[in-house]
Amino acid sequence: MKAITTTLFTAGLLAAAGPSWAEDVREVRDAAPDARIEFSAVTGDFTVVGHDAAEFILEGRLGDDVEELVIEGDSDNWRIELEPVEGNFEWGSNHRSSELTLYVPRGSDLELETVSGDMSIRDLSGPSLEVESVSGDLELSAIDSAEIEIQTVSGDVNADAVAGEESDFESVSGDLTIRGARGRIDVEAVSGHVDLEATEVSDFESETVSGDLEARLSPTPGATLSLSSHSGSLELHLAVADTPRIRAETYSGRIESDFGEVEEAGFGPGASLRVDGGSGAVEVEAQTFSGSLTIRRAD
Amino acid sequence: MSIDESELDRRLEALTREVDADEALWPGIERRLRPTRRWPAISAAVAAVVFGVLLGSLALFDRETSDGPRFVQDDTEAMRSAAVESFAVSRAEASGPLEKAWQDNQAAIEQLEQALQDDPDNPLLLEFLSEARLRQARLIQRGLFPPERSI
Repeated sequence: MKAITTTLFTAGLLAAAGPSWAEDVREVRDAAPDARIEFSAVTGDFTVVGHDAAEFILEGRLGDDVEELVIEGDSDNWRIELEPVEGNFEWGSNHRSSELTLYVPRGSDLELETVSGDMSIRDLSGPSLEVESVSGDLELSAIDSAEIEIQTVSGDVNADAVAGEESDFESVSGDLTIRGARGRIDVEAVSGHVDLEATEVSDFESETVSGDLEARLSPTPGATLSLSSHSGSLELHLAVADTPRIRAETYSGRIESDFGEVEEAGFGPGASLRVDGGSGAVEVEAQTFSGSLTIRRAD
Repeated sequence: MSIDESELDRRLEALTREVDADEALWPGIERRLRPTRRWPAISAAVAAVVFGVLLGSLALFDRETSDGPRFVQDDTEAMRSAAVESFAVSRAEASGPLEKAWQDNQAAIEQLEQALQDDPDNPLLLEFLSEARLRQARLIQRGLFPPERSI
């Protein structure tokens, strides 16, 4: 089924001098409790909220830059798209961008995309949540989806109580602030900074180029933690009862650790740290080229 | 004189399977395996040119798509046109940060290659270098295919 519900042909014509042509909308469709729902928009302010009803509700205001609101699919699979007007839209002082709230079944399988729009997402527990942004900021809270994949280029990510079994956060220059994560966590940034707090961590991988990373982790027994950075500093705070097994190395940076003795290179810069934990110990592998590396025992 | 198959098998089995290279060849082999200053510099230059050409062609593509036909034949064409528009906006928004990240990563590659000149067998440096080159490929891919995937 396909339904093109609202069409704003005149938005582009009014872009130069006319009054604001933003339009209020309220669209309601049946949606299965685990429906797959895709939402994409170029810019605006968007809020996505999980609720208990078997329907999705899209309400708020469409911006002047929107050519069409497209809603198509069926109760198991919906696609919602704010199609932009053609050409370079000139934003004037009297033009307004989209402000929309999308209520979806809490167990939805969600895929959300925006270019420069900011997005706030909360109260979801579906099989997966995938969010992609270019420069828009993302705020996530109370997310318990099994698989979480968050990707930005320059937008910042602020995630609180985002506890997927598998979480993947990726940024180029945007900062990643993540609280209340758990399970398998993968973090990647080029120059963005990473601030992570997680419990029940079974597997953690991080990779940065120049971005700093600070991680406060409570790993499960036998968890594997792997950290790598070119020139960014790595600071790992570990809440562990037993001594972890550590293999840490830096080519020209320095290492500080509450565990074991750091060995300075015999010639030139660089250092390494080797600690042998007992059986079932948490395993830490950390490497930098020139970034500093700090491993602390957390209280 | 003929040899039966079992005798042939026996003789084949008895043949030496490994031969060490003549000692005189080793210095040449070692030279070939060792990273050189010249090739990384050339490969970096080629990669930079490729990246520049890609960005240039993307800019041309942007202009063509934004000056595209104003009238659409049907819904499918309209949706395709809108998807192309979203794609162009998305790519334009992403190109600056991605190019900066590409340059930062390129600088990291050059530092690693420089360090490998002094310490060619360092496994840490080799690992970092391979990761950095893979990352470079991923950044180019993201520049070409940013998050907007509805096209």
